Amino acid sequence: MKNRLRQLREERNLTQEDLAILVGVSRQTIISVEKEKYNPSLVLAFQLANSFGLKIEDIFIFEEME
Amino acid sequence: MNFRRNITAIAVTLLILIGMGIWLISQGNIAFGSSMIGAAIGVGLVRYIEMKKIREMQAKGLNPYDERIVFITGKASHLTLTISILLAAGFILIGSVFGPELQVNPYNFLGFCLAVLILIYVAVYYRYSKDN
Repeated sequence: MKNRLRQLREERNLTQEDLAILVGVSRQTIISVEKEKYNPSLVLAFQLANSFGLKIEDIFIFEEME
Repeated sequence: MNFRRNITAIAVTLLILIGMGIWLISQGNIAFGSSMIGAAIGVGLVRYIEMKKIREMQAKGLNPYDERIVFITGKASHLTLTISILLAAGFILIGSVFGPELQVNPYNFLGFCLAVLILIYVAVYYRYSKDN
């Protein structure tokens, strides 16, 4: 699943560690989500969206599997 | 468990293992005794460093046991179990058809199986950790 996490984080001048603390995960998890290697759970996706004051679909872009 | 309690548990386990190592050496089993002491100190050090890192992460407000770790450990455990079952089944099948009957020391054999299991888990965990 594609996402705009890195772009949104950088726009707000947040480090990966700041964001990790904000949503209560490790920095490695933020790195993995940004690199689109790991798809977060619905809870984490909501937490990330809430921390930016956005909706989930503003951050994560769902693509139908072929 | 908090940090201090974890350290105490590690220290007690280390002391027991080192004591057993010293006893083995005094009984003339120098190789086994010294390996046990070496391994106990090595594992103790690694655990201490690991716990210190986790403590530092928690102090910053980070969560070292978050959902990604749970996801990876779950996947790694499942694959380790599958590989172990397939290996054991293959070993039993080939051994009972073609292999000679062997006399094995059950302690050594179980120790070997445990070491293989841990090695598979570590390898699989590392792979999933890289991919996720």
